[in-house]
Amino acid sequence: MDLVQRGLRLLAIIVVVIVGVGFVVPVVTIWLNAGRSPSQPGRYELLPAPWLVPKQAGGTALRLAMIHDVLHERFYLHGPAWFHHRHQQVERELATYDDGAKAKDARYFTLLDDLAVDFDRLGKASEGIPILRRKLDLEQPLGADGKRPAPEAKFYTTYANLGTLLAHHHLKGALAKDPDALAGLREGLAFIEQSVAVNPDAHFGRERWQVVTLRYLLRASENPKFLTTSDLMGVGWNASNPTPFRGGYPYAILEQFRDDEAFRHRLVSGPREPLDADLIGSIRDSIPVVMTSDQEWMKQCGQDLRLPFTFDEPALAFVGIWTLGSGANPHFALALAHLMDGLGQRAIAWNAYERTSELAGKFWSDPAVQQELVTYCRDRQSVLERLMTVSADTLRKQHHAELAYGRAEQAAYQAYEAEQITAGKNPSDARFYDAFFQGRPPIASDPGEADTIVRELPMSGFDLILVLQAVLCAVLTGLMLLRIFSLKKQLAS
Amino acid sequence: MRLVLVIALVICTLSQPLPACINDSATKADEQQFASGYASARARRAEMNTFHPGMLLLVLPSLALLGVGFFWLRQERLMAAKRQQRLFRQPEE
Repeated sequence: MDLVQRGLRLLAIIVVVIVGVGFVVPVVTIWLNAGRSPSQPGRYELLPAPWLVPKQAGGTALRLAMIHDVLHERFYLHGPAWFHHRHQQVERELATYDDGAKAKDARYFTLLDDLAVDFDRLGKASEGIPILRRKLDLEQPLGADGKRPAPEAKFYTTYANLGTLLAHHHLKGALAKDPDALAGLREGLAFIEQSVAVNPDAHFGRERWQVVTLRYLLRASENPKFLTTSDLMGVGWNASNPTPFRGGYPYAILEQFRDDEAFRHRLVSGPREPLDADLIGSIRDSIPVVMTSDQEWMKQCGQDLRLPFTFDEPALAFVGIWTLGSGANPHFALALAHLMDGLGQRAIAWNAYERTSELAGKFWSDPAVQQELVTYCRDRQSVLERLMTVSADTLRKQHHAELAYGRAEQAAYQAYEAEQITAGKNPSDARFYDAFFQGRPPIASDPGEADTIVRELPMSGFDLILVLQAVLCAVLTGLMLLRIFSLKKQLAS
Repeated sequence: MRLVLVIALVICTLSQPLPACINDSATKADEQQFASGYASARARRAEMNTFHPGMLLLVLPSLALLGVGFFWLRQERLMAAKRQQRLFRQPEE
């Protein structure tokens, strides 16, 4: 009898231990998962970020890696040899129109654009301006009253290019308050504003931000303090959260965008269907917006922008102007730093502040303003270093190594162009760059998972099993313990 | 003095970067070349909702308990059968 009682006691202990483990482990696991969510796999999923849906079908959608790459010059751009070569070719082709035998068709006007742009890219904007004025006179001759007809969308490139070249030619003088240069810059600005009016979404709204930038610099020339209070998006220095996440993501549509190839292609590349407008609206409405706070900026620079604007609009514009226009620019670098800082993209933000500091000499002519900029960037960087728990030395070494790589690639690309052109190859040949790209790793960095949003899952099937297991263990333990006690009672009596 | 300041400012601003937005025959191709570097990743299905086989260990206690329960019931049935056998044998004695 004693042996049976000891056996029952042992059984009771085994049951309690098993049940204890069976009950406690799942409960603790769920609790820990919930506490550390979303870092635990199985508790969340990743969905495409809403900014992956471009404003217009066929337009460029922002990838955060683009910003990282632009800051490190990781993109290819044509060198002087390429522009010289095109310039010669354009001049030859234009000569065929000179005798009047050939009608001035669309090709002729494209050639004029190319000729003027080549002058600009070769540092001779002043020589390109008369070409574009001639083009405009041919497209929209002045009337008897000396006025030009109303702007038309088909002449958009003329307005944009003429405005840009005028701005290039006159900006320096205008900032020094030379009256002629100021008039020239204002004329350029008016042409760019005209190009925006007739084609508001060209190049993902780049011209819109070109206008804002010119207004910002003009305003800064009148009031330099403006430079150190807000960036060219109107975001104040030290703004606590310039690009807050809005939440309220349309998860179901984003899920479809992720999983449905045809749907994704339609939204990204087009053609879009009429019903897509609402879906795109709800996706793009969830993109973080830029919180412009500077009243002076709103009045002087962003008066015709729809506020608040989504962060991808200026980001794409700055990336575009940097890669296809003027190159590295501290004002754009600072604006990108603020955007990335606000989005919690600490590494990109740190690099953007670093690049801004490196370009401080081009920020403004006053050394005191430059020093203020560097101090501000260093302060922001030290906050980011603490948050990332990475030392400034490590980050700076990585930054310099990557920047050196980007510059070396650009130099190699331009040297290759020069070499091939000298060898008599034509850059418009589809296979011109084949030898350069052969065996070369892509210059663009891997976008990784930066352009995703995290959705926390309510409760996975596995969690449900764990909960059921805990309940089952508790019930079984109760039943078995009752039985053990009843047997013990029987034995005792 | 003012003239000197103006000249100094012009010289200093020579390095001022210029915003540019060019439209020529190469713009579109260059834009596409830049964006194409990121195109492959655009279609990637970003999902990290993975299941780890090791997580199955969590259900082991339940399975063990079921085993014990099953064994317990079997023993109970055997004991009940034996008790009945003993009860049936008693009248013959």
